[in-house]
Amino acid sequence: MNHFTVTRFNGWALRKEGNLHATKIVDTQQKAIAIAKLLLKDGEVSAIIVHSKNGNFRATR
Amino acid sequence: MPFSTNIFINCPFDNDYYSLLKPLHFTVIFCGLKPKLSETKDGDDIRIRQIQELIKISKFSIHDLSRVISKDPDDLPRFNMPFELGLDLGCKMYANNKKRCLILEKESYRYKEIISDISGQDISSHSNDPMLIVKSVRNWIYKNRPTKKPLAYTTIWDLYNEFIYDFDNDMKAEGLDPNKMWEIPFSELIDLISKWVKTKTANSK
Repeated sequence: MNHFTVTRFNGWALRKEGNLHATKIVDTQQKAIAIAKLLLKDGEVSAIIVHSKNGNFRATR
Repeated sequence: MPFSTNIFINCPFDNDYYSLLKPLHFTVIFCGLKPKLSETKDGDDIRIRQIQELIKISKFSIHDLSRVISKDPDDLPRFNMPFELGLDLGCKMYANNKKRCLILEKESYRYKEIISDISGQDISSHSNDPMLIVKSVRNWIYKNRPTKKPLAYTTIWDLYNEFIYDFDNDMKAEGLDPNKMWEIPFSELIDLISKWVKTKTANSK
């Protein structure tokens, strides 16, 4: 299952694929990626999908 | 196609606007509306007749005037969008007052300098921000269809991001550039969004 980090007006949201609601909202993209990496390490997600501020797909980690 | 769910989209169909065009269409489709846009199918078609018909069969419409003034001072302004807005407002005033329209602009109140007669309509500015366009469009749809309450704009934005990930991968797999408009016909993009939304909303938690 992928984990998406996307921008919000009030920060960056983490959301698991298939879920309608965000798991967590943090104030920077770096923090969002750091939390997603922990989930990746724990095997809770299989990939981290990072988007840029305009919604374009930026990278897979 | 039923009048009550058709939405006429009057905006630039070019690469410069593509980053706003995609979330705009994703949001209207996600909220249960069916975009109607003018694509030339027959060389003999008179474009104005197509537009007239699309306006007539659509209860809703969105007109984005943010690109009326061109970036290059040597280029002429683009009059098609305000012209089609005028046709739509005329149809609403003279023929069907059930019609609802949203006018989008880049900056708040800029329209007062270029087309002040539209004061009093639903006008929203998006600052060229794709997330803001999702918010403006979703909230306007809710205001006009309160019985069909769509999910929050934040959820629609998240799902749009997920769609873009799948869309990019599918396009690249076929050797196409996902950021370039007209790699596929626009009607195909609408079909892809519609199918994606249908599948995802059926499986979402």
